[in-house]
Parts: sequence; C-alpha cells; structure tokens
Amino acid sequence: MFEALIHGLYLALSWKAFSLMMLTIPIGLTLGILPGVGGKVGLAILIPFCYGMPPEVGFAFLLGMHAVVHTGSPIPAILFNTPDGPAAATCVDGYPMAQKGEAGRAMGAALAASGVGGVVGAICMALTIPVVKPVVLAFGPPEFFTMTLVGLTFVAVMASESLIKGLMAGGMGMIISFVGMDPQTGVVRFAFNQLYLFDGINIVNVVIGIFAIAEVIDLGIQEAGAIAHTRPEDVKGAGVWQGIKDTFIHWKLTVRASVIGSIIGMVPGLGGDAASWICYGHAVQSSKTPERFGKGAVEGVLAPEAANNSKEGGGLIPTLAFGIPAGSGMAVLLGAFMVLGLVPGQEMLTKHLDVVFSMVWVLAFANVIGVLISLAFVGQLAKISFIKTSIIIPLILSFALLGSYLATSNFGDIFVTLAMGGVGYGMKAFKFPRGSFVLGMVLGKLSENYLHLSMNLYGTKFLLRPITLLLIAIVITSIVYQIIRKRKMVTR
Amino acid sequence: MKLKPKAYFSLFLIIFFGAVIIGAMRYNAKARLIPLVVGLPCLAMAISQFILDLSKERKKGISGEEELFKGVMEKLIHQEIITEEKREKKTSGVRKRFFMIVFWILFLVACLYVFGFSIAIPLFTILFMRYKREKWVLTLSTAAGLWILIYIAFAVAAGIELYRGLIIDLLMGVQ
Repeated sequence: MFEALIHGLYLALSWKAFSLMMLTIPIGLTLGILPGVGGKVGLAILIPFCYGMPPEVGFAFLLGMHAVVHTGSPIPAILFNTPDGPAAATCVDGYPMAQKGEAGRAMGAALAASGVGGVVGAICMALTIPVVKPVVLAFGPPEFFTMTLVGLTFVAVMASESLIKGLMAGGMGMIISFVGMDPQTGVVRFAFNQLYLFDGINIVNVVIGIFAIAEVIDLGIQEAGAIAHTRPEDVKGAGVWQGIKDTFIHWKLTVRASVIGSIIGMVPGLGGDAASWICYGHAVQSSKTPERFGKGAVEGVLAPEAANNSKEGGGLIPTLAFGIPAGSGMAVLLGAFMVLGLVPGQEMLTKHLDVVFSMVWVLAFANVIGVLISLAFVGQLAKISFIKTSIIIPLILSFALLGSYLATSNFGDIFVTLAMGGVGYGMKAFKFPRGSFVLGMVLGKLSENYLHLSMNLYGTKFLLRPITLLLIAIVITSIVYQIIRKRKMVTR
Repeated sequence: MKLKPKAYFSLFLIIFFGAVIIGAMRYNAKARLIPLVVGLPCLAMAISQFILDLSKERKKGISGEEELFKGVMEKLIHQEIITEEKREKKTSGVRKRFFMIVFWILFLVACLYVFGFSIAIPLFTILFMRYKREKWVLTLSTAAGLWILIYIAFAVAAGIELYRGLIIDLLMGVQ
C-alpha cells in the first residue's frame, strides 16, 4: 500500500500530469466563479481532450479542474451575493461580512478553508482506501450487480424531489446505454439500422448534451448580461491575511467541517449542498455565540467552504471502489473512466492502486495551488464575474460541439449531442435529475453484464447470497423511506 | 384540452419507453431481458407522471410558458432583476430568447456542416456577439482568440484534423 502511495506521488509529479493539472486549475477556478456553468460542464468539455492520455495524466487533467471549482465559487458569493449551489451557505455570513467592509477577510477565510478542506478530503480518501479494499475484494458479480441498483436508487431517491422523476431519469440513461451491439448476445439493439449507432452512443456526447448544451440554452434565455453589476471593493491587503489567520485560529472547526464534508461526500446522492449546509449548521451549533451567525461571523464562512472542497475526496471513494458515483459530478467523472479505459471496482484497488493514489495527490496539490493562485489574484478573479453571457455562450458552445465531434470524429456525434441537449434542457426545466440520467447511462451496461455473469455462475440463486440480500434490502428500504417521507410532506 | 409543456415532456417519456418496449420485443429473450425490466416500470411511472401533471395543471391553472421557463424565472427573481408582479410580462420575452438561442445553436451546427470548424466557429462568434450588440473590437478579438486557441490546442498540440466542412470537401473533390 505504501509503495503504491509513493508511486502515486511519482505519477502525480510526472511533468506531463503536473503541467496538465496546472493548465486546468485556472479553468476550474474560472468555472467556479461563473454561476450556471460549473464543474460538470467543465468536465463534460474537457473529457474529449483525454483521448489517448495515460490514465494518471488524464485524471490529473480532469481532477485538477474539478478539485478547485468550489475554491472559486465563494468569490461571487461573498462579493455579489450570487450563490450557486453549495456556495449558497457561504453567502449567509460571507455577504454580510463584505457589507461590513470585511470582504478581504471573508475571502481569505473562504479560500484558506477551501484549501484545508481539499487537503483533509484527500487525506480522508487515502485513509479510507485500505478499509474499503477488503470489502471490494469480497464482492463478486452478484454483489456488484446489486451495488449498481443501490447506486441508481440512492441517486434517484436523494437527488430529486420526486422519486418517480429520479427513477425515470436513471431508466432513460440505462436505455441509452443499451443502444448498439449487445456483447452478450451479438444482437444490435435500438440502432434503427444506422451504422453510426451500431457501436452505441458515446458517453461524452451524452454528458456534453445533457449538461453543457442545456446550460447554454439556460444562459441564453437569461436576461442578465453578466452576474455582477457593481464593482467589488478592494479585497487586497491585511483583510485577506486576517481571513487566513482566522482559518488557523478556528482550526478545530475547519478540520471537523472538512471531515464531516468528506463523509457526506461518500454517500451517493447527498451532494455538495447538503455538505455545506450541514457544516454551516454544525458551526452554529458548536459556537458559544450563535447569535453572531447570519450577521457576518467568519466561522459561517469557514465551515461550508471547508466542507465544499473536502467532499470531493470522499466522493471519489464509492466512485472508484464500487463504480457508484456519489453525485452528478462524479457520474460525469465516471464517464471519463470509460474514455481512459479503466473499470472502477476491484481492478482499481489492485492493478491500478498507484493511479488511485495519484488522484489523492492531485486532489491535495490542486487544492493548495488553486488557493495560492486565488489568493494572489483574488481581485482579478472577481472581475471574471463581469464577463457577459454574450462572450461565455460562443466559448462554451464552440468547445462543447468540438468536444462532442472528437468523441468518434463523426458528424453524427454533434446531432446526438444536440438531441441530448434538448432532453437535458427538458429535464432541467421540469426538475428531472440529470445526474441520475448520466449515472443510468454509466451503470446500465455494467449492471447488464454483471446480471448475465451472475446468472451464468449461480442461476437465480445469486439473489440469495447474504451481501446481495442485504443490498436488496437497502434498495427497498431507501425507496420505502422516500415514499413515507413524501407522504409526510404532503400531509403537512 | 391544450397540454402544457410539462405534460408534453411526460408524453415524450411515455412514447420513449413505449417505443423501447415495442423495440425490445423483437430481440431474443436474453437481449430483451434488461431493456424490458427497465422499460416496463419506467413506462408505468411515465404514465402516472403524465396523469399527475394533468391533474396539477387543472389545480394550478398556470400558463405553459411559465411552467417551461420556471427555473429561469426563479433565478431572475432571485437576482432581483424582475419582481413577481412583472413575471407574466417577462415570460413572453423569455420565450423569445429561448427560440433565439435554439436558433443560434442550430445555426452553428449548420455552419459547422457547411464550412467546417475553422471557419464556422469564428463566423458564429462574430455574428452572435454582433447580434448581442457587442463592440467590434471585443467581437473580433474574441473570435480571433477562440480561433487561435482551437488551432493551437487541436492542430498544433494534438495534431488532430478537424472536420473541414462540405464546401472544402466539394472543392477538393472538384480538384
């Protein structure tokens, strides 16, 4: 294990991996500052660039960007009160601090806490791998088949306000994954005699359509030219330094929030919003002066920001070990596994353990470097909020369509991406969880393969294996729990 | 009765899952097993969602446009760009912008097909930014910057030959 850890460090520090990580860190920071774009769109656009890269280089390229998206997000949240997803919790105290003339301090605290959170998240991930490894090695095809059901159910149940919508979104994704030649039977399914569809629909086109094109439509119909309309106050100087010191004065809170965030990150479907709000609540509860919160308490900035960045380390654990992404961002990242030729599960924790540890190192390095860049250029980064949608749209659209074309270098890819963009916008408008769709697409083929393997090995008796039974019970319990919770909400 | 967009989406799902089930019936037992296991319950859920949407529409009586652009409207209200009172008036503006952005996306795809990436992307950027009344200097520098970025990233660094477009192909065919 220790050998893999050191080899992982060597892989992360190889010039190609490190330089590509350095290239994508500013992209991640920029995407974090632009509300409505976000890390998923960034991943969707960057995945096509990974073709032909060795896995460790590809993950450095993608994780470098993904790890720091939440480092950039407190900047508009604090300066302009424009929350986007998990950064909403930061607004509660961050914006009042800015109004009191403490924007620099709030920024310093948010950025330093993000850095600490990211590093603690990476450490949590490294410490969890030895614990998870024997569990994963004890799993066979029946257990992995039921794990795919657990993942789909968890995300459908928790990521959506409606269980039906979540399950349907997952179902749609699974059906899309069945398009093309079935490797088990040799039958070409749902291809409408189109040669282009015989190889199936590429995950890259689906991800770009569902997230990037849908976001472009959303950006296009917003009236606002840019997210910020007023000039921010100067955030340089002693205030920022005071904020950094605050992180270490309240180090116990920062570390606790990071650990909580990391644990929440491991639960499929809970996502970043839950991590930041739960940690904000923890900061209020554990404070001796809770009345200060909401009026500009620095602890109210530290806790959610630490949790935001630490959850990524936690989220990688179920993704790598079981192929069950913890959230929609991880579902998109799981698509990158296919592009890079890796299969999550036992192989990741045995054959490719060094690659897994290289991810730990990349997470830690990217967070530290991202924070240093943000602290050095905080004033300039704030100006990104003034970029108009009339500039953002051509940029995203061009790279999205270019990326989708690169999937198989066929113009049909662009049509698939467009169709998926339409579906994605419909899902966004009518509140169907798009993460469940991508998850269904990723897990669809896997679950079918595991089912056929299980049937060949054990017949229908595979359903009676102890771990399989336990996992089926978890699936049923989570669905029943959601139905009861929904009914309670309706009666209230 | 006129259906609202929300119900149309549920109807689309019914058709989608229905087509999946009909299509799957043509395959052998092993190949159709999972598509049917997924498709049948999803079809049942889509039908129940459709019924739910119809009953909600009757209760709420909100307009279809408002339903389709609900997310954007909520965002605009949050940003204090519009108030609740102006909501109805703004919905038609949002609808117009929706059709415009869809038009621009389709326009870019058409340009890509005809002219290829290296011409279509700067051309689209210039036309889109001018439509949004951006200054010429900003428009041209963005288009040039984007073209250079794509050229360096793909043609130089990755050595990828991008789609050249119908016109170039035709011209090369003539030669």
